[in-house]
Amino acid sequence: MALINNHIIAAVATAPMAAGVAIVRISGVGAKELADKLCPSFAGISPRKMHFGKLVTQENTLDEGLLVWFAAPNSFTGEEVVEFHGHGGRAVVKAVLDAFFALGAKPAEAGEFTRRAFLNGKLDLTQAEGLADLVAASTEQQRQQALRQMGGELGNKFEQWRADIMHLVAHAEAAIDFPDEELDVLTEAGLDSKVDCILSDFTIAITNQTGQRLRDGFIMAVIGQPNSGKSTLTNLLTGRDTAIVSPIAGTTRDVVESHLDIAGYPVILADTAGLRVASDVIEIEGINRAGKKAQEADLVLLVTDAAKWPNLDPQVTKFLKGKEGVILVSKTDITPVELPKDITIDDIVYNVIGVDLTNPAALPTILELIRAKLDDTFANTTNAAQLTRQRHRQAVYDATTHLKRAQELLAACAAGGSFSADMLAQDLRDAANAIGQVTGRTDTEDVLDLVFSTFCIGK
Amino acid sequence: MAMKQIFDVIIVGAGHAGCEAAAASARLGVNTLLLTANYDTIGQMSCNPAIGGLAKGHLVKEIDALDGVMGRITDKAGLQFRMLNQSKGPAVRGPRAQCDRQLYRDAMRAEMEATPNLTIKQAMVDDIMLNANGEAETVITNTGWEFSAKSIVLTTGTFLRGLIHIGDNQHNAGRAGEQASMKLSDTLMRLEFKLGRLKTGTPPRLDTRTIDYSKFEVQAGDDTPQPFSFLTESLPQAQLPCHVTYTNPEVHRIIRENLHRAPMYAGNIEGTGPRYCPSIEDKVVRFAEKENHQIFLEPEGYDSIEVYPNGISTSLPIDVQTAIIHNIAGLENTEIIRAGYAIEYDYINPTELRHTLETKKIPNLFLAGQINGTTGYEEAAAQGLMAGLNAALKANNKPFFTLDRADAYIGVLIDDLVTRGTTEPYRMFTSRAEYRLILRADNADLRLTAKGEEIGCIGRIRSEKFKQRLNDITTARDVLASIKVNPHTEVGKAIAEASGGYKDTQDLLTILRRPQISLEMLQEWFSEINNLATHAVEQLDIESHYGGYLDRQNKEIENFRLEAELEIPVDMDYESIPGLSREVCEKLKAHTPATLATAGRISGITPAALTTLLVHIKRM
Repeated sequence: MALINNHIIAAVATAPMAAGVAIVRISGVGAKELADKLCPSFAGISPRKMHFGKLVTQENTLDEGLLVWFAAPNSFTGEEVVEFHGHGGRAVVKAVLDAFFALGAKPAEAGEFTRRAFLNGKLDLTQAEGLADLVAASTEQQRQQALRQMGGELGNKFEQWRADIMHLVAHAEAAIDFPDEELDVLTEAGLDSKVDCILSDFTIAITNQTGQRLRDGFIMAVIGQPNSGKSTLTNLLTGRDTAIVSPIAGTTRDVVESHLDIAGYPVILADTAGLRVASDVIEIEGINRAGKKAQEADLVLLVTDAAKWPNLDPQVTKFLKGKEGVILVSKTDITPVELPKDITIDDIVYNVIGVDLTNPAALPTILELIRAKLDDTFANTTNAAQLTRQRHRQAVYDATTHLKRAQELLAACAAGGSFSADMLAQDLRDAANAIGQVTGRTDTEDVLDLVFSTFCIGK
Repeated sequence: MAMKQIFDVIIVGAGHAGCEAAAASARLGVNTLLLTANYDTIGQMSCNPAIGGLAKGHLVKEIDALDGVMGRITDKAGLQFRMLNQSKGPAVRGPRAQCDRQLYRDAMRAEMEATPNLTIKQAMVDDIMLNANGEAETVITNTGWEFSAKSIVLTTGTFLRGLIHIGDNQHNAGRAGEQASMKLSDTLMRLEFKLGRLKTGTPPRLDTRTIDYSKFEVQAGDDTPQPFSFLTESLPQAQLPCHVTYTNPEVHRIIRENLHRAPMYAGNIEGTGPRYCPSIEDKVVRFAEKENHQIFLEPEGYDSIEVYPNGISTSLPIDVQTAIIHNIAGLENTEIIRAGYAIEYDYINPTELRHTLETKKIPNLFLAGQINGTTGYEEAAAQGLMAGLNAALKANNKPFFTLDRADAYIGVLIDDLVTRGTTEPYRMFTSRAEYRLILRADNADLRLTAKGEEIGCIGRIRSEKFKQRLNDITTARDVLASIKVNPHTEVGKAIAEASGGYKDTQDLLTILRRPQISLEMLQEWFSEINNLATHAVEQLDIESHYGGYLDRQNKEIENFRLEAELEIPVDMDYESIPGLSREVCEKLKAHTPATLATAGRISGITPAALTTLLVHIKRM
């Protein structure tokens, strides 16, 4: 991406298609002045007030609509911003933009408004990520999570972690820099239990993948023997002919993915090749991929032909290992069978349902089952900020490594060994810095402020 | 007609910054003049009679490693030596010495008098004149003497418009009993420096003959006192004990009742005081829940009857000071010899300086010590050393000498000052150092002496001693690396048992990295180690002790130095850099950082702004 510019940028802020209303946004020092040139009656209007006016050039009138401006730094980008809410025709938008370009504005690059907001300190990195996610959100649950992150929920969580660790740093630093002060920082402050507490918080955060799942999609793999009805199930769920269905075993050779919105959750449905002993090179590769996909999946839908019930092929069930799943017994219209409500494989309980996949009436039952699983999985996401990206996870992971070492040093000290305040402080600093990578940085001055406000220091 | 003499370098002020600056400049062989307002108080310790402590002790070691004077003088004058934090890890050990105030002063003056290339004169500087190029050149004194030089170093301490407060009594003084410098501030304002006001304080001094020592805890020095200087072989004097007592609720009640009479609370003081060296009235107010505060009773000298009660700095009126003292256990009948007081003085925000300590506005004018907003003898001496060296280097048309944050605490100190400035008296703490595990007191010479040799500030004796030390360490390293331990031998099994086992044959350097294996254990098992120089094996032991921590810090230092290599042109037009917010622009313009690393240290410069700056510099 090119460098950030400090010239005035302009772009349409609404979707680039014909619509009732389009908003053109102009940002940068002097944006208001440009707008005044096109709409003289706008001059003298105070910020944050809608003004109805016409945009005119020397040659002609471009459009009429609402103008509003925001003075720096109280705007989205932190710069002077003007918005024109005009008619949404493509030609209108183009004419308005061209007029601003003629006056010296430059077309905004993709994401440039947000980038400026970030650079001007209007958003921290997690908020900027949240904004990107919000714009990209395609389901209700994604929208809610992105909105929470943009509101600073995730950033606040990292800041809180950093503050908690900084508090520990302050204790270690006070013990080092003020040895005459009789500060019993180790026992009084209960450093070890506080480290334990943060570590368990970290472990939960790292283990809990739901935030990232909610952002990237919940993976649901359909597996089963050849010709058991996997692709029929896929087509039933997607409501279209996503997969080629034929009575020939081995029709699906690669993984076919579709994106679904189930009860507001983003779901990636992966239809896979039938699992059997194959000789065809392509089919073998397809089977390998099916296995991998099953391993990645958050939920496995195992499809099996009612004619084979109650025998389950171990070639297929091995991919259930340790996974949440549902067993769908297909073609019950052809072979009616008595089915249990659930069965247990390797200590995990799987719901069993019999379905006729060719009958759309089967859909609500299947959806209800999946939805229950989704609700279970995402039950916590609305309560606490989730790590939504690998970057967040890595930071927490790094901090965990440092805190674990700090924990060892504290344990050695408690066991009667020496108090390695130097290494303890280093590990705590490193942990705080790792967390700080996500939202901001740690400064030695911050540490001293904490020390002075916490302890009575000085001779 | 005024008499005018010409020198290469003039040092104004002969306190801890001034003496170190004068000695450094003279060491580089340039003709140096040291001007003091009072010849009798050269090297005076105005406040507590101690040198060193955490981070401050590191500074003294570093000054010594560059062949400065403070460490050697302390060793001559010390009456009690303690290594603080002995058990908390080698990097955070802080050497500290109580000193005999008189011995220190005498030794420092003798040192100055014996320094070749150095002339000392008593005169108060009233004005500084510039030459036609706008460079500092001449100092005008209150005696009629005028002196000119290629570089001038100002070390004014608390003397710039010094104002002493005791209750609502006020008088101008540089410190108790000495004349303040009232005219030089006008000069600095005329030269368009922005002056600020800081405050510091000191406790009353007590008569040892009226103190009941039976009520105190004794605080003795270390059994084997360690000298500051790498040159000192043995310490000349026997050690004296200090004593510890405490304030109590009654004392706190007296203070609270008289708070309105403290100049700070009555609003008579405009300067900002240090948070880490609060007056007793501050402590009582800010930590109201604490029932007592420690007081260290420090002897002022072998022949002195004065005692310094460290911990109760105050500017309350003298009757309140007396009441406080008389309500402390053991001090019930104690006479105050000198009153405690607060002193306000002018300083220049150190963002006016380059890393060389030369002012940005006036070429050839260098500043060091409290005039730059610092507090503490050691902080002053460290700046004095660097300002003196650079003033002399400039006089000789040689390249400047600077240290960075990964070289030394001196580097951290100066970088903090010139990039961030200060609004309260700045004191060094180990927590200010990012690379604390590397910047240790024990390796100050290994970090700095060779650098000093490059610019010629290291004397012959130290050079030879340093060479010997390097040889000893190399020998020790070779010996430890040559001893290989097979895990199947008897010793190998013992090591494996103590440290959780190992498979392949390893040398002793590697084995020493195991946290469970101590140097003492190896000395017991391998007698050949005992023939090696103690200082050398200890050095290797410390390096092994930190193991992976040092590896990591060295990697961080690499990154830091890469950033530090990215120079920002002095005339950089920040406004033209796309994407820098106005606030960031203003800050960068105000600080004019020399490198990207420095820019990153300015408060309010975001990581994003740094990236933008980085890309811009690389494109230029």
